[in-house]
Amino acid sequence: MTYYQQEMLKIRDKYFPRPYQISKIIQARYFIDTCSADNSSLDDIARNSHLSKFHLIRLFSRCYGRTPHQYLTDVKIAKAKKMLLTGEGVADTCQQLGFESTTTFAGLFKKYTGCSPSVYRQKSNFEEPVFYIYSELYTHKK
Amino acid sequence: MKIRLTSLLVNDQDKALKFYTETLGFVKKTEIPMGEHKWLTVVSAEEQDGVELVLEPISFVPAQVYQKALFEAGIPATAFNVADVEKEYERLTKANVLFSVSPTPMGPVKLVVFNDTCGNNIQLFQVLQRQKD
Repeated sequence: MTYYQQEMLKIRDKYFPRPYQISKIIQARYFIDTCSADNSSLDDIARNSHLSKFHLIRLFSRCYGRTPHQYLTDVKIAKAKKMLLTGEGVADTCQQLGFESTTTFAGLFKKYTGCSPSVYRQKSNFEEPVFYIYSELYTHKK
Repeated sequence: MKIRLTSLLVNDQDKALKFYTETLGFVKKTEIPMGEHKWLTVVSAEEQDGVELVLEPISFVPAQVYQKALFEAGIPATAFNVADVEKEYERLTKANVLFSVSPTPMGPVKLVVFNDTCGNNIQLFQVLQRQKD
């Protein structure tokens, strides 16, 4: 067994929840992935996973490094990007994904993507190829 | 500022290109001759507009020491996401890839570690999904 494998197993046993708890958290993630188009709340997610809100937040964060709310926002923004690129309007996208208002939606969208929903909707996917001359650093001889 | 590239030190660029394209299934994106070495990047076949992996030459001696130490400890130089880690393990084992870690659950992911033949351990991980009803 390598040093890495030994350390990995130690970390797993010490920091990750038990397998039955992990399966509940995977269920919660699935619920968020599939139900983010409505106004799912933390209560709904917790109820669906048979966990208290406190446990859900704690275990979800330990497994994924994000709170359920943060993950829900990630999923909603990813869905919004797809919808906007397929021609859906900003207000319709906002409404279908259950954001409180277009202002909230626009603010979060800009924070995540760097541009407003309307600009994102119009923009082309084309980006100039980028590379950097880094190999030079590794061309030294003995 | 955007993340467009990530770099992996390899001890033989040609061998690495062959392994990363023919064995792993990545696609060559750029190749620019630069004397003894080259600027060489590959991308995922499923995401060819995604982040490019730079297969970086490693003539710089301290970098060789670093790479060797990581390799001997079994520590992965980087990790790639796959949909089904068991399936990749089976496919790559058939292609004679050597694994130091067989499929192992680690919290909400399952992972393996293999030798890329160019001085690195590489980890594959699958984010586990809900079991079908």
